[in-house]
Formats: sequence, C-alpha cells, structure tokens
Amino acid sequence: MGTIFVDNLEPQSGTSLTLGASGDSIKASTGAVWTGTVAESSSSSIVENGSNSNGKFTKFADGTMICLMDETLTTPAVTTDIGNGGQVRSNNYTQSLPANFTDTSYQVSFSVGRLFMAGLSSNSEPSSVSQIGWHLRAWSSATGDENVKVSIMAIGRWY
Amino acid sequence: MKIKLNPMVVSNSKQAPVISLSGLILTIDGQKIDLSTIPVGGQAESDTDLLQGIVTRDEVTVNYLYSTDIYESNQSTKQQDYEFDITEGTIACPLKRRSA
Repeated sequence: MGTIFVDNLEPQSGTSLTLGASGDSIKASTGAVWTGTVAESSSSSIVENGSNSNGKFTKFADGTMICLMDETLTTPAVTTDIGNGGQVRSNNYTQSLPANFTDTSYQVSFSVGRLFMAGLSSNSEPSSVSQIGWHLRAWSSATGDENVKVSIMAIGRWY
Repeated sequence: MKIKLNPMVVSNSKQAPVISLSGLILTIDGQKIDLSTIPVGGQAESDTDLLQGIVTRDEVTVNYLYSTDIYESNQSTKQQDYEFDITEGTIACPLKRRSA
C-alpha cells in the first residue's frame, strides 16, 4: 500500500478511523514503527517507553523526555529550620533518573502524600543530568507517623 | 561486598559496564578502584563518576549506564535485581538485551 495523506479530517459522531489492516503497525515517516527505539537517526520511532529500578521514562523523537519516579519515605522527620517564616525541611534525598537528560534545564514537580511539601534541595540546585536532590518541607516541625509517598516528574530533553 | 547497580539510560550507544571484584579492588570497565584506602568501618564520598554516593569497604553503588539500542527499553524495576553480594568475580549483567 502506498502513502495515504489525510487533510481536514472531520470524524462524524459515532464513527472511527482505522489505519492499517489487523496486526499491522502504524509507521512513522521514517519507516520505523510508531513505538520503539527513539534515536537521533533517520530510522527513529516516534515514542519510546522504558523503565528500570529508578523509574519510567518516555522519550519522543523531537528530543523531549519525561521521567516518572516514586519514593516512599518511612516516617520521615521534617525538623531542620530553613527560615522563610519558620519553614522546616527533612534530610536531603537523592533520586537517580531512569534516563539521563542532556542538560540541567529540565523541570521537576513533586506530588507528596499527607501534609508535606517537597522541593529541590538548595545544595543541589541545579540538579545534575542524572539525579535530583530534594527534600520534604513543612511549615512547622513534624514527623510522619506513616510512610510518605513522593511522586516525582521531570520533563526535559534527551538531546 | 554488596554491589548495587544504579541503572540509567544514556543517549549514546553504550554497553553496560563490566564490573568485577578481587579482594578490595573493584574494577569497572578496566578502571581499578582500591577500596582498601577506606579505613575499616569508615566511609568515603565518591570522587568518580563511576560510583555514586557514600562508599564503604562493604558496599558500593555503581552508576550502570546503558543504551536502549543494545538493551531492551523496559528492564526490571525491582531493586533487588540490581544488587549483588560477592567476594570475588564478575557480576552478571542483569539487563535484557535486544534480540539480534
């Protein structure tokens, strides 16, 4: 089958568009399958999903990469005064990335369970291309009475 | 000695490191690291990109860089699959290679 170009497609309610016969893969213009190994080459796929013990990553052919990581802290103490109107922090933690960014201009966001906040630790800003330094923060001294789960998302570039 | 691997994907094509231990000499891709310089019961901060964090005579964490053109994108997510307790010899690579 040759290449089909579709312009100004306006699906009707209750209809769907299927590309390729059953068992076929939609392929990128490079000829590679849509989801596979992403590389700086003419044979690259569009999206690559991967994982290891440090977390999950999604690389896109345009150079964007998203890393997702989880950490569970056991009854963390958040008691070190850092000023700023009485804010306190925990010990500093280090989270290795599942895949390296090309530079330290990537953005990081945290989602923390229970009453805590999390942020980059001042002694590791900017984070390196391979790891993030961070700690828990709170407005007054506290010790978690249960495990605290922290989810970290980093978005940047892999090339 | 407990050797922990810290797996990280890099963009450039790269084979996973070859790691071996002989006594207190740790060898990573041919580079020797003499852990006997660390006092018994003491610890040191890693001063090489090969290792991460605190190093003792009993435990090290090795940065385990690899690329997904050689190894599969999805590897084990279990920490225990990247931990080895050995006294001598070479560590078996825990990564799944892509089929040829």
